[in-house]
Amino acid sequence: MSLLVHMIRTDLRRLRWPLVGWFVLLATTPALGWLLLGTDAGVGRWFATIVMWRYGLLFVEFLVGIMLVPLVIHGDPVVGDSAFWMSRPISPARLWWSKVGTLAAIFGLLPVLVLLPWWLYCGYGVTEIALAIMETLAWQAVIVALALPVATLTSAFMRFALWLLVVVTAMLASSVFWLVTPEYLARTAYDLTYLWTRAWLALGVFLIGGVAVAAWQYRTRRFSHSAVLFAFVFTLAVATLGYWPRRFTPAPTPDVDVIAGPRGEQIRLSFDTAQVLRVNAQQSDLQVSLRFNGVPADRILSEVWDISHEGRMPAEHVWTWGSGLRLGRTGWLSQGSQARQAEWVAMGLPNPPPDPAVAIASLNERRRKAGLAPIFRPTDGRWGELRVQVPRAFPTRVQTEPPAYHVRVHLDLIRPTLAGECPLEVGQTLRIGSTIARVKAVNFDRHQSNQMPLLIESVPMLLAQGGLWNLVPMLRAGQIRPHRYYIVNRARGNASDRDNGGIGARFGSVQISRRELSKAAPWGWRDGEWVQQQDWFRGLTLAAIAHEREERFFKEVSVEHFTVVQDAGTRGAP
Amino acid sequence: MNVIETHALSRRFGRTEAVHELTLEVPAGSVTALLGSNGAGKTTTLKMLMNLLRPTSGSATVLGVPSERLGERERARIGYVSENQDLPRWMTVRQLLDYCRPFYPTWDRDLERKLLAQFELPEARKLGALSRGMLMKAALLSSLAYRPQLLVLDEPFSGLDPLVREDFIRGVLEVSDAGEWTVLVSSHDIEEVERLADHIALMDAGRLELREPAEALQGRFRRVEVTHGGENVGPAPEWIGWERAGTLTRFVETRFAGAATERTWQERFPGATINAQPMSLREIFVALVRARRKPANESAA
Repeated sequence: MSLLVHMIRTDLRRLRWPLVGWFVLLATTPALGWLLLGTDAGVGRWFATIVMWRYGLLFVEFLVGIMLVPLVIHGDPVVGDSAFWMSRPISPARLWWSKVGTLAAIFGLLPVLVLLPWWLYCGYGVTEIALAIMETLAWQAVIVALALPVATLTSAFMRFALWLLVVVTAMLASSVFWLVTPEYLARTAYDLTYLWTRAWLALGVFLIGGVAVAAWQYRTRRFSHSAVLFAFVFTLAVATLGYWPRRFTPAPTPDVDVIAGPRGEQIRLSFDTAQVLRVNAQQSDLQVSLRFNGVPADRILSEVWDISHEGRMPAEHVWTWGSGLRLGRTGWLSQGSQARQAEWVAMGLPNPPPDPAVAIASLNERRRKAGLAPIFRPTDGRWGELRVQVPRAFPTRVQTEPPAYHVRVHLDLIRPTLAGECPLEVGQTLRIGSTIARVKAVNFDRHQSNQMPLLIESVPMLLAQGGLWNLVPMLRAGQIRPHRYYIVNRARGNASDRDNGGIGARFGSVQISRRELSKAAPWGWRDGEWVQQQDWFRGLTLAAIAHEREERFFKEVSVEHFTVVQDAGTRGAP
Repeated sequence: MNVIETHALSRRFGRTEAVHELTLEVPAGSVTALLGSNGAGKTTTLKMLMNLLRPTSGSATVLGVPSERLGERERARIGYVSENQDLPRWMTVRQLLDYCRPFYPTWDRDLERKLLAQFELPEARKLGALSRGMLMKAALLSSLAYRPQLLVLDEPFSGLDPLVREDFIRGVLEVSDAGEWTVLVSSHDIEEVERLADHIALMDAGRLELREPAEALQGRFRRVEVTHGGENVGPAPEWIGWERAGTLTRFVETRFAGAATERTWQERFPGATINAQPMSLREIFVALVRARRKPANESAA
């Protein structure tokens, strides 16, 4: 053991100057993050600049990490017959473990030590720190595992760089080959589960196989054998990418009518469409309005965004004509007004539901005055719209020869809850677990267009939906989406439009996002009309809404006949 | 007892056979010189013995262990210095010694200090900044300080000036005086080796030509000059390097055994004046290699 430590210390001393650079590089990440969270840099245009720097830094970190691996390995190369260690009482096994130790110190211990104060600053607890360490180590392990086999099979940096370039080029070429092969496309069209599973599995095969090749080379020092083994691993990874027959992700719950809620209630769902195609003549996009019956007022039906989890796109539309002609398209489900209504319920705000028919009529009257075409909305039940791009000739064809229509919609049943609320004042923070939203600016002046209520939010990366892995929803079936923020006026009992997400980046397992809230006063339904409330900007609070998934499933709906409505495509709903 | 034994050891590089069925013993306590011209297979042989290269066929044992299974315990008893070895050039001399020391339970700090002073090595200077001679001395120091039972030197004198060679040999002799050990040194600098070696092994074109004690070898070789009346006398099988110019005949006697051999010469050259001189190791080496190559050249012609 002491000899191992001795060898590791010698390696670290040899690499002390590159390691100083590595340390500085690692420390830049929390420094940039602190600029956003701890200073006013995130208020102005610097936010986007810093985010861009972070993305650039991520690339530099990857490159520098890749270059550090051969520096570690080539200090005592395992190819050739002239290395100093080979004639010394150092067994290949001892050398291997010393290199593993050195790599662990550089790519494991150092990043964790550099980032630990940053995580504590961001309010991480033990669980978040454990997850962040896991993510950091996984990212660094990918860097090491990618470079390790090539570094082990070479003895000079330039040779390493050349062969790494060859391997990466071959990897990309084979990936592209599989992706563009017609057979592959035909077999897996719209089923991204296979693509995702195969990509992860192929990467795993390559990385684990690569480490095994390196260990084998250390054990045997037979370059030709190890090179053949590496070629085999590479081929296996490519074959996995093209032919792996199973998918890891579970199949979604099949078409269900009754969902058992977490509190024992039975939620009975049924869908049908309004049987209307709304055609935007300019963009040739088509909307199919879909009614949901039986969705409780405090729940949201939402399409599955996380395509990597369920494997399929949120909605798949198929039109079939009698002649045998078939058209398939993928589309997205918009949530309509249902999401906001359920979130208002979660906040305990009164939400006087307008008569849908009257509300649509009022809306269309305003659109008519503004010179806009009227919009179509179903007037009963809750609804959503499936948006899909279609060929320009499609509407005409539908009218002359109505097709049969079938849609498969992948859905989450979501229950919004009020996660936290604080006064809307600069400097206030809203802490929800280890997610912290900091109010950086509050300005409702309509003439200052570049300043508005502004939040900087830090979220544990592994808990954020759509994070690095996209595996999180599989691990955690609870909260799957980022918080939604509202400006709330408790005195008046209403809230502004919710935020529409923000831009951000990962800063050492902390997702930092900038969210700009609407500074327009909300519209309210008063006396049969939509009206804007001008005296609204007093005593406001900031509320965060969490989305908890209760069920994930798909529904299939078939429609015999459509009504086609031409639409100007402009939006006008309050 | 032999410290090194090889049996039909061979190594091929593609179509080239660098070492051909080498069978060699190195007795314990001996200083054996492995001589041969460039490309004779000396370095390849030593690398196979040190398990730096795998033999294509045959086997070798070093310190009683098959060379392919040399472990940490055996290597801690072996010193290896080679002109081809990549030393950690980023280290200073002091760091090199500090790095090596923990691997050797028998490391002798007093001997380290003594050799360091004797070699006049600058402790604080990086190996990469040392001259070739200094570098070889640093390598030797790091291989002598633990008093290895077996010291393997691969072309240690190559490119070194006479002063450094002297230091080098004194260093080897320093440790040699302190106890029984075995040295195997490969070189084509025969004069230097001659001072050290008590056993000689000669390789040429991958084959072992001879192996015997240096004293015996030098004892049985004589350079003979015969001045005679011009009789047509042919060479005996044990004579090599046969040359004849008028009444003067020169050859190398390979089986000189004192008066008995001189009587044989007198019988072959009756009435002739015979002058026989002892030969240096270098002269023996040259004579043997030329004798071996001459028939090959003649058959090629």
